Amino acid sequence: MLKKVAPWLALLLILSLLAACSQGKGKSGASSDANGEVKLTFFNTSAEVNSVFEKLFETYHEQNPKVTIELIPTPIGGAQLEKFQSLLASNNPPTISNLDPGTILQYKDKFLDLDSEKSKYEGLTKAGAVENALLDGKFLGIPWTAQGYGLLYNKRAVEEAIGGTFDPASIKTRDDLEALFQKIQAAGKAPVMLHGADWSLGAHYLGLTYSLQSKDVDTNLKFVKGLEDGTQSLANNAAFNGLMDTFDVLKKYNARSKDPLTADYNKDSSDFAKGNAAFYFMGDWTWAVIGSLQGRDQDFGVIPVPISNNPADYGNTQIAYSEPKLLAIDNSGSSPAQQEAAKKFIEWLVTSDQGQKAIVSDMGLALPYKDVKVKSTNVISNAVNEYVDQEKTINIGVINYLPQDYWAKTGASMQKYLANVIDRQGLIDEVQAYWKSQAGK
Amino acid sequence: MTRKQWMRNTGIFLLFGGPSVIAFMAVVVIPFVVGLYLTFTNWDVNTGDSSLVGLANYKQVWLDTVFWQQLWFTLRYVFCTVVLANVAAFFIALALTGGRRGEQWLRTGFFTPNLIGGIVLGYLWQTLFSQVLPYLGEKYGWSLFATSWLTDTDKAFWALVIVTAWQLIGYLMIIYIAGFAGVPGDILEAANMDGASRMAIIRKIMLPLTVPAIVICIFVSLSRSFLTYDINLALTKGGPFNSTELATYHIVQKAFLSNEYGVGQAEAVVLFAVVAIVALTQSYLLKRLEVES
Amino acid sequence: MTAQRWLVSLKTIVLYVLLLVFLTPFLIIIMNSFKTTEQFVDNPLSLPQGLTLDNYTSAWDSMNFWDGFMNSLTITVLSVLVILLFSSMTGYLFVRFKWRVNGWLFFAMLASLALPFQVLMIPLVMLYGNLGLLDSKAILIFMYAGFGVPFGVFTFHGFIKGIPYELEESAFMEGSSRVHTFFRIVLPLLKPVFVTLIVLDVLWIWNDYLLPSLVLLSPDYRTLPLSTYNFFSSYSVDFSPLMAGLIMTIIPVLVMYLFLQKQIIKGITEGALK
Repeated sequence: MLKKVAPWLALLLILSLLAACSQGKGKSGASSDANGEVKLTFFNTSAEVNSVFEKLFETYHEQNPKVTIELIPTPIGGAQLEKFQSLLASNNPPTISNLDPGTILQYKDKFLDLDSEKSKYEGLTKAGAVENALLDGKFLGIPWTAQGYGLLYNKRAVEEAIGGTFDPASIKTRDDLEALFQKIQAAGKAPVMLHGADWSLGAHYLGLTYSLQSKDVDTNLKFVKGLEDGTQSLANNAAFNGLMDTFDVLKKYNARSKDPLTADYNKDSSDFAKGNAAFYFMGDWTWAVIGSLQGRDQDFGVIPVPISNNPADYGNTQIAYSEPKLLAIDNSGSSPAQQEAAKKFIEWLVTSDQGQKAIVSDMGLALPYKDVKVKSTNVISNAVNEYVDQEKTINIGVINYLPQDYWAKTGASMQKYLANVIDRQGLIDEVQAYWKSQAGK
Repeated sequence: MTRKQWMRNTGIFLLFGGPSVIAFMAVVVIPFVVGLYLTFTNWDVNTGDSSLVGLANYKQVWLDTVFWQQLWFTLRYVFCTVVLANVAAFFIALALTGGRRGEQWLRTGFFTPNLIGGIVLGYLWQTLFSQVLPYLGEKYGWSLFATSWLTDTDKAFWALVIVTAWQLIGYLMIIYIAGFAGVPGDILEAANMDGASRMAIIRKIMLPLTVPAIVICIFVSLSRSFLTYDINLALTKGGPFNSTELATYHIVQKAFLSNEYGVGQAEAVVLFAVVAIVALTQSYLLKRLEVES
Repeated sequence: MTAQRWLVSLKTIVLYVLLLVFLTPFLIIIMNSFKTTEQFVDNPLSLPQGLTLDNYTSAWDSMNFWDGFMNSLTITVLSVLVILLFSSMTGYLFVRFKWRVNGWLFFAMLASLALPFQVLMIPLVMLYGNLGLLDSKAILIFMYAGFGVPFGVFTFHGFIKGIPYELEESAFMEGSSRVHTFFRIVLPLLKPVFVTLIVLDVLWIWNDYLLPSLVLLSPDYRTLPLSTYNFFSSYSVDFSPLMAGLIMTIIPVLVMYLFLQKQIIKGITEGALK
C-alpha cells in the first residue's frame, strides 16, 4: 500500500513546498501603505556606482525610517534598455530612474513632469544646468552629475617628452597638436591612446560632428534632420572634415595602432594613467578606473580636440560637456505618496552633506550644483570644471534627440575607418546611409 | 473506444501529462502566441497601443538585409560549432568510458567549462584573446596570435566557434556517456581497444546503438548554438564593426536598442522557423537511420 | 603489442594535453582570484604575490553570499525536482500512448527547444506582471518547470523507447497499476538519464541570469548570479572579486557533479540501459 502512495506523497510534498515559498510576499514591488511607510525602487544605469547608492539608501532610511529604497541594478552585459522595458511592460515601473536623457525623452509619457520643481532647481544648480536638462522644453529629469571629455593628458608623460613645462593652452590648432605628438613620439613615448570601442568612437568622437554645427541645439538637430532627408551632406561639412582630419592625426600616433580595435577599457585607462601614453581621448568618468590604481601618475588635465588650424573656430578651445544621466520619477504606476517621497529623496541626494559627499568623493563625479562643500579628488573632473567656469564648453545636448542606436551603428563605421577597412568616402557613405534609414522614424 | 476506457485514458493523460502540459502552456505556448500576435501589431512598450498592422513588420524583416546576412553568418557558425563539438565530444566520451583509472577526473575536467555561466565565460575568453594570447604571441613570435583574434573578422568568427564548442563539448560528452551506458560492456571494450577493426566496430555497432544519444546531442548543439547570445555579447559584442553579430544578438539590438520591437520580434519568429526546420529535419533523418539499423 | 601499448599511452597523452587546454581558463580564474584587478589587467598570467583572501571576503560581503546561496539553492533544488518528476512521467506517456494529442504535444515541445528566449521575454513579463504574479520564487520555479520540461521530455522519450515493454507487461499481469509500474519498474531503469538531467538542469538554473533578473525584483530574493552586479560597471568588469565570487558560486555545483558522476559510472557498469 505504502508503495502505491509514495509517488503521490512525493508530488504532494513538492506542491506544498511550492506553496510554502510563494507565501513570502505578494507584490513586493514599489508600494506604500496606510501608516505612511513608503517603498521606492531605484533603477540605476550607472552600474559602477551601485554600491555607493546602496549605502546612501541605507543612510536615508536611517534618517527617514518610513522610506525604504531598493536598488534595481541593471543587468550585466549592458542590457539596460531590455530590463527597463521589461519593468514597464510588466507594470512594475521603478519609482526613480537614473537614465540617459535620450531614454527619458523616448519614454517621456511615463515620467512625471517636474515643472513645479523647476524654479527650485534653477536656484540650486549652476547656470545652465537645468536648461541643458530640459527635454523638448520639459523638465522631466533632475541633473545630478556632469561630465566632460576631450583629450586627457598625463602631465608627467607630456613634460618628460617635451623636456619642459606643458601649457595646455598652447594647443590651439591641429598643427599644434601634431607638432606636440611628433615631439612625444621622438622622445620614444606613445603620443595618444585611442580607445577603439564603438561608444567612444561613435558617440563621443563622431558625435561631436552634430554638436559642432553651431552653439544651438535646435540648429544642430536641424542638421541631423537634413542628413536624414538628404539635404545635408558630410562630404563638404567643415566640422565633420575637420574632426576627421584630426582623427587621422590621432590614428597615426595611436598607441594601439598595431591592433586598434582591441578596446580594453581597463587596460587603456591604466596604461594612460601610468604614462605609457601621453594623451587619451576619454572623459573624466575614467577616474573610476584610474583613481584607485597603484603606481599611477598624479597630474592629469584635459584639452579640447582641435578641429582646424584656425584657433578661433568653435571647438578648438572648448571641451564637450553634458549631463549624461538624469533622475526621473515614474508617473505610470506610482502613487502620489511615492512620487513625493521620491522628490524628497532626490533633493536630499543633491543637497545634503552625505549625498554630496557620496557623489563627489565616493563616486568621483562632478555635481553641477552651486553650493557643493566637498572638494573632488577627481583630478580630471576638476580640470573639466575650469573649462566650465570659463564657459568654454561645447553643448552636446543634440545627442539626447538622436535615435538610441546611433552610436552603435555609426561607431561600427568609425571602427572600420580606424582599422583601415574603409576610407573617408566609405565612412561618409555608411554614416549617411544610416541617417537616411532613420528618416521618418 | 468504450466510455470507461476513455475515462481511464483521460485519467492517465492528466496524471502523467497534466502538470507538464500546464506549465508548458502557461510559460511557453501562451507567451509565444501573444508574442506572435504582437508581430502583427505596432505594439511598443511606450505607447502600449497595439493596433493591427498586418504583415508590415514582416515586410520590414524582408527588407532588413543586415538580418539576412547575419542569419547566413549564424548558419555558418552553427554548422562549424555543431560539427566540431559533436565529433570531439563523441571521441572524448568514447575514450572516457573504458573504466580506466583517472577517468573520473578527466571527465570532470572536460565538464568544468559548463560550471560557469555564459557572460562571465565570454568576458574571460575576451581577455584571453585580446590580452593573453597577443602577449604570448609577441613574446614567442607566434604570428597567429600577434594581434587579437577579436579584431579580425574571420578570426573573431573562429573565436566564437571555439569558445562555444569548448563549452558544449563537456555538455555533449556527458550525454554521450549516458548513451554509451546502453552499449554492452564487451563492445565498449572492443571499441576502446586499439586494433585494426576499431573504426569498423565504432561505425557498425557503436553508432547505431548510440543513435538516441546522437539525436539528442545534435539537436541540443543545434538549438544551443543557434540561440547563442551571452557569449556573443560578452566575447565580441558583435565586433569588429558588427561583423560577428549572431541572429539573436541582432534581434535584441533591433528590438531594444533600435526600438523596433515589432520588427525584432518578427525576426525572432523567422529565426525560430529556421531553427525548427533545421533541427526537426535532422532528427527526422537520424531517426530513420535508427529504424534502418 | 608494443605498438598498441604505445598507442594507448599516446591517447592518454593527447587526452591530458586536451584537458590542460580545457582547464587553462579555469586555472587563470583561480590564479587571478588571489590578485587585484589591477594586477590582472597588467598581466593575467603573472603569479599571485601571496595567498590573500581579500577578494573572497569582499565578494562574500558584496554579494551577500549566504542569502544568495540559500535562494539559489531553494530555487534550483525545487525546480529540478519538479522538472524531473513532470518530464519523466510525460516522456513515459508520450512513448507508451501513441495518441494524436500526445504526438502534437511532443512535437510542440520539441519545437519549443528552438525558440529564442527573446521572443517570449516581453510577453512573459507582460502577462505575469499584469496579473501581479512576478517577484515570487514559486513563479520562477513554475517558469523553470515550463522551460525545462520540453528538454526533459525529449531526453526521457529517447531513452524510455529503449526499454522493452515486456518488463511492464509482466508487472501488469501481477496486477500492478500503471502509476505503480512506472515508479517501480521504469524509473529505476532511467537512473543514468536522471543523473545526467540533474547535472544539466542544475547548472542551467544555478547559473541563469536573465530569467531571475526579470522575475525576482526584491533584493531579498536575489540568486547568486544576480548578486554579482556590483562587479560589473558600464564599460568594464572588476575581475578579481568577480572571479573569487565565481569560484565560491561554482564550488557547490562542482561538489554535486563529483558526487553524481559516480552514479553515472555505476549506471554504466551495471549496464542499466539495455
